[in-house]
Amino acid sequence: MLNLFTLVLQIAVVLACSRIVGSLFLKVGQPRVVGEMFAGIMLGPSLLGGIAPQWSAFVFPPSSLGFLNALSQVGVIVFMFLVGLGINPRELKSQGHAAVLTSHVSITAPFVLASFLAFYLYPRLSDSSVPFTSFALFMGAAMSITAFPVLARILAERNMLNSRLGTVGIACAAVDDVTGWCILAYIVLFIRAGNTGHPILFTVGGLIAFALVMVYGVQRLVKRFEVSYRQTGELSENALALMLLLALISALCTEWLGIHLLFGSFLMGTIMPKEQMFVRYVVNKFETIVVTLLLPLFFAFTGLRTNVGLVKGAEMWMYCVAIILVATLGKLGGSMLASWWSGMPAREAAGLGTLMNTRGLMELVILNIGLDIKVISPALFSMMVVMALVTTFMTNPLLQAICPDKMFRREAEKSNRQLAVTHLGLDPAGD
Amino acid sequence: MILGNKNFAAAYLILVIIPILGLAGVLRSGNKLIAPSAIGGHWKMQANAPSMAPLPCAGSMATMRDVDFTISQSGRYFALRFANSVIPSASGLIEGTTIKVSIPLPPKGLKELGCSGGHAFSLVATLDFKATPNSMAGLLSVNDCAACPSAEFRAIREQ
Repeated sequence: MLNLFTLVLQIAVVLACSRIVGSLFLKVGQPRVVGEMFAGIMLGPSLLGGIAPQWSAFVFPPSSLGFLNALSQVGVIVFMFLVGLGINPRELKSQGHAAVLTSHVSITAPFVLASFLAFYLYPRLSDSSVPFTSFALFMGAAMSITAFPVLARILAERNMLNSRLGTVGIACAAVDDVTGWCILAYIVLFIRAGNTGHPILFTVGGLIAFALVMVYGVQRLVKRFEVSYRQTGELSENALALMLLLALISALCTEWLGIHLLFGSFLMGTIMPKEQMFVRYVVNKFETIVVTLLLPLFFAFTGLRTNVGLVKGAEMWMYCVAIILVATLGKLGGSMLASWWSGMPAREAAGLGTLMNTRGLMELVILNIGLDIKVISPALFSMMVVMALVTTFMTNPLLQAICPDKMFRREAEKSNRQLAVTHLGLDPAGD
Repeated sequence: MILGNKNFAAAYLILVIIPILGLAGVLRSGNKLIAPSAIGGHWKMQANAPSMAPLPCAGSMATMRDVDFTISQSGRYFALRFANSVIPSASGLIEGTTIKVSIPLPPKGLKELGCSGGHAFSLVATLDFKATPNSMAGLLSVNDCAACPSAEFRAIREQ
């Protein structure tokens, strides 16, 4: 039964903790979201549960976690809609062959390396209920994901969004996320095929039909949102509610078809109009409550499932280090090699690799799905969470070391001048 | 960044197509790998009570008698947690069809449980996956106590 006191207490504790830790991380030059992820881990068995088990049991009794999870999942559904909304396939097209190569290599390199690692880890960290193919594909998908929102935020904070590095990075991250989610959909479908009650052909056929309806039917309808926004400069509350409703219905459809709620909301976001001002407006409308309240709950729920104590002994920590190394080598190394091959200067290529190596929240979302469908074990989940934290944490300092701010200042100024000329008709000389 | 069609094709072949073929090879050969048997989930324990009586910590053993436990498995490693018991969770290892767990006793309240010293228990059991539902049978014994007899137990996995 729902204990409202406990739930409100949990929300208050999570909110306070995530704001404090997030602010501390901001002070040391990390994005707030990284601090919030750490705050979530701190509230779980890895820290609070270890040093104050009574307090942990009082604030987060196991019987109450279902409600916290439900609330956090609603946040993630809306968040995935916003992530999909921010992804614009045209950005990749405009970058030409080089971006296509870089984005594809930034998926295949970590994916293939992860599958080799899976070869080693499967007999050690998995069990006979998980087929090797699902295990290896999941490891590949989890390692090839890029935290599109964190990457966009880092680029914006460093005024690099309009630089060559920024545009290629954004395009590649978008492709990586869409590909990663498609692969994950396949894995979930494969694993859940026997449990949904639907024959697999029904699920596959249903998904194809659903995608066609979304792309050729719903996409035309949602264009009206943009038309309305262009006419009035805003959207009515009814329009915003309808947008949210469509995301929820889409999520329910994919869940019913046997994959996951999040695929539906992500797909809904991707078929939304991509006009920049419109996207910014919609994101602003929903982002505050999702980012300040609901996502910290998701981090806390993830933290409650993460037990670093399960990574015991030298052998287990060696697996953990191997996971971090392979993830970094595949993503950072792969993206760097491909972009360098495409003609990007070595330093910028290393910067791009560093950006692509940030996994952040998207990784946690994927890992939670993996744990839910039991394709990864609790200890492997904890190791992968550590990997997500380490690779996200290292992004900003590494990027600063490789590509200091001054490197992009001139490019940013030039780009801003061009924007001013294009959009405002200003004199390029600034007179 | 300018990449000609020929260069692009060569780079794509080397950096994308060949690794994907490698992935296909890994997936194919990986299917021959054998992972440890799945033992995760809830188990119901039925211990042989009379044989427990002579044990030095019979009181604490009694807390483990006819008690459910949950196994959270991570490959060869697993954590075992007794329901409604003062016994803390224990970690163990699975080798083939044999599981081995060392169960530490809580430092507090040993006397109340009838324990004379800081003993720990060993649980060694053989799994039977042919049985429906799956079961395990084995021995509970006291570590470092040659005089202490072992207690037999059987546990059945809940579906």
